[in-house]
Amino acid sequence: MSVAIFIGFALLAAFGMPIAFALGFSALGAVMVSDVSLNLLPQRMMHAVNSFPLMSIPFFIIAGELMIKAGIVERLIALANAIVGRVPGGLAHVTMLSGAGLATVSGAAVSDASALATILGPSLTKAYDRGFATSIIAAAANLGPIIPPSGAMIVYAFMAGASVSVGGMFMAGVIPGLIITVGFMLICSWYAWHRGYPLTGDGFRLGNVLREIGRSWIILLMPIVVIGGIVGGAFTATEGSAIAVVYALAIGFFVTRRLKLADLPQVLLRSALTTAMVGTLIACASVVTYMLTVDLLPQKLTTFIQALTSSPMMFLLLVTILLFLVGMFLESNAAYIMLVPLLHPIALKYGIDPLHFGFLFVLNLVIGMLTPPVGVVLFVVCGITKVPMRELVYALWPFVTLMYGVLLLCMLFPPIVTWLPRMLGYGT
Amino acid sequence: MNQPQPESPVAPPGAAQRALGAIDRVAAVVIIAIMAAMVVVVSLQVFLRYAFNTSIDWADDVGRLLFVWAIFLTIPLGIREGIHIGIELVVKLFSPAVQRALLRLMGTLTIIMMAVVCYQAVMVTIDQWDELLPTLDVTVAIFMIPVAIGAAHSVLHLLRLVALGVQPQAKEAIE
Repeated sequence: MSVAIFIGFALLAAFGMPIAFALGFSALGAVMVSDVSLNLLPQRMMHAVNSFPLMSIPFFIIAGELMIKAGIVERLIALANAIVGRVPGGLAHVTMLSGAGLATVSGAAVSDASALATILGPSLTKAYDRGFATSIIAAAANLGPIIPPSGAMIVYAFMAGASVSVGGMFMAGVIPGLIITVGFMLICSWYAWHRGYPLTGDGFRLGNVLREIGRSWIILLMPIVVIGGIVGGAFTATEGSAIAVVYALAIGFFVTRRLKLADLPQVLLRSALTTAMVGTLIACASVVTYMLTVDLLPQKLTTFIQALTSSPMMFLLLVTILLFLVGMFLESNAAYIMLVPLLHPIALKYGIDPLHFGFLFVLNLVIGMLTPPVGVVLFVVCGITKVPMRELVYALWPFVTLMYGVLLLCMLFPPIVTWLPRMLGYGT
Repeated sequence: MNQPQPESPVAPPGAAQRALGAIDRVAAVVIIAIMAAMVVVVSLQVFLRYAFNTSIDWADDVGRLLFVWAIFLTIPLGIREGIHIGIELVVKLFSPAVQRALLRLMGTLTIIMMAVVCYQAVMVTIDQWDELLPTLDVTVAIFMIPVAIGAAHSVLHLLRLVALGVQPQAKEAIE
């Protein structure tokens, strides 16, 4: 039955049915030919999304959008410009630091790409060649799901079940996120030096930096309050995300005063649409997962893969290759929802740390957001800047290579990922 | 859904499309209210816990209930906006006429699925009507109602999509 489900799903998806509905229709077929009652369909779909932890997805989306509308990106840019604006490749560094700052309040690469491309795109394309300019934006935006909070990590933790906590996943991303940010900035410096880009931005003045810190500290405090509260056990990830919304509202209405009541309905509706996209996938995939479990597929798959290799490292490499291919062709949320329930239990059988595997999984698919033909961040950046995809993809390879390098590093040296969560009491 | 571009301009909206537009606008208002209520309930729970050392018994149930309603009511608007992700690589290899035929075929199959979900959700709702939530004096079937509504509303959008053979413009949905 499992094979029939996969073939049915693959055919429907290949011929244009949205992935969620292709999953749902395959599940419907499987239920109809089995002894299972058809009322399983709505019941499992509803129970799959009847989840308190999942509510953090729309809340972090709302918080991120409100913060962007409140004008925090401009303040982060001003702060980054005061610090690194005058160094070679200054505007590129400003973009990277702004991306990292934005990543601490937003959990999604797409919204970050949209904000950075809209605000910094015109200046970047004037200062640098178009390919390099857009590749900086795409790379900086991709820090969004790596540096906490992260919508991708929330979905992963939900699909992986009790062995992975959202807080633990968030902390797993901190050190690799910093390494990637520094690596991106080194790439920018090398390009600026190699191509002789002229200096931009104002010279470094301590007074200027302190003034910008004074304007931005309230924004920088948000991740400390929200992520700190989640990690410190003061509240759950969902409660923390709701506080992030309230915090963003307060900043928008009372600090920057750029948020208007009229902005709220669109922000709420857009957040609902994104959540429904993920929710539909989760709901439909839950019926498929149930039918695959009835068919004992997870056990069969575990036996099959363990017969292939007994080495955890070889298993990780196989998963990396699989996710590299999947990331090229499938949107990342669909990949989490379809593959985590199958691969996460196998990783546990190999004795791989759940947080380690979880982070590698997420990083793999986050990189996939930068790889054609289905690279959602590429679409957003090209759509806004009107730069041809070919130019962006050509200029992006050093950043993608660096991310794969960090992925390999994290695979070979798990403490890069697990040390911080362990220090904070997460995991075994 | 992933669509071919229209070969000819879409016909001006008829009565059925205007009615669907009105349903969409009502759904959008309800969804916005639900999302706002979710934020209020969850943040109020945290505020009460830290400020007054108390909590609301029903906050968790109501939060999840609102979330379930938000997701299932938004699915049809997602169909109209084309946010449900798919794979276009293979479809794009075909001629526009074949693409249109595939769109209609996939839309029809999705209608069948949504119709089954809707019917079964109604049956489950009727079955569960007398059971009450532990924290609220409300039927547990209240969790299943949005599944039926969302599926029925989705069928309407899918019928429109199959009839037109193209993806409607996203902005029509909610403006």
